[in-house]
Amino acid sequence: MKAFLVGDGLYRASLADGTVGRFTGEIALQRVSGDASRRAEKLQAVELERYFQKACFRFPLRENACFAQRVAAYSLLRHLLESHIGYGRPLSSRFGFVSVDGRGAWVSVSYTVGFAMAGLCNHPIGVDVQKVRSLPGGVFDELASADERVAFGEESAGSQVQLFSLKESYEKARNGRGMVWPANYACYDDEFSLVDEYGAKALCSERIAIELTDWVASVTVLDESYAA
Amino acid sequence: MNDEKIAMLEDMMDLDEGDLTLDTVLEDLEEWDSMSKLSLVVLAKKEFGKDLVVEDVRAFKTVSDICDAL
Repeated sequence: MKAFLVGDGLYRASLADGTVGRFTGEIALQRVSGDASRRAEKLQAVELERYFQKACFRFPLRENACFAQRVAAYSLLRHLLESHIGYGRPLSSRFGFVSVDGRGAWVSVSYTVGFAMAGLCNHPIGVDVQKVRSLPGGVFDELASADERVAFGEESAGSQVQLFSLKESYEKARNGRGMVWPANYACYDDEFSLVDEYGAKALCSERIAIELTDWVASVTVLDESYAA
Repeated sequence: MNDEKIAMLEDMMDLDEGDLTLDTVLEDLEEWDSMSKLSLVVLAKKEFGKDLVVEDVRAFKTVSDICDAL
């Protein structure tokens, strides 16, 4: 899957190029800097009410307090919904993951300092973007499997955050919420490939470096039956 | 005691010393992301012996709420 820059800090990647089998959809990733209120203007109040307020995932109703990347993430989601299936209300299934009512589509959003991300797919999807920073002492060891501790324990913060991001995207595809702890997360080898796929596919996990800051963006899709 | 907890939170979110106060609203922090929330669950157990779940963490509104729970 190849992401490409379409301008204004917006990257898009299609899942419809045949490289990911039966999975089709699109990922949008937005470099975010600027004030939230300006970006919030792109979202109309009726859209917030109709598509997000009743959805299982939260949207900040305090418009003045929300941050640019959070608004940008939901703007990207709106854009993907418009582009691919028209409007539809995102709903949480009884299994937790977020689909679009009656449209055979699943969505996921993520945001962090400096970036926003959204994904839409014909299977359960989880996207995650993280700013690279050192994990607090002991946290990595708690989140990694024994094999991962061996493979990544001495690696850079970037590698450890990449592993975290992959796990987070996997769990978001599976349960719509992301990682909870303690839990048995998906495990990855030292090349960031899923050890046991069982119908899951880590589509990509890429480092993004802009000036002196690094980010990691990850995408995982699952067979619907496996997500259940 | 709260100073120790706040220092842990600042370190956890890669913030500078003094960036957080008890009144800081978590939703106003860019750094209060999924990694921070999960890290808090782990650190609460590791450092303070407190069992938090992610749902608890998501319900916190301010730094004071976290300090009270630890």
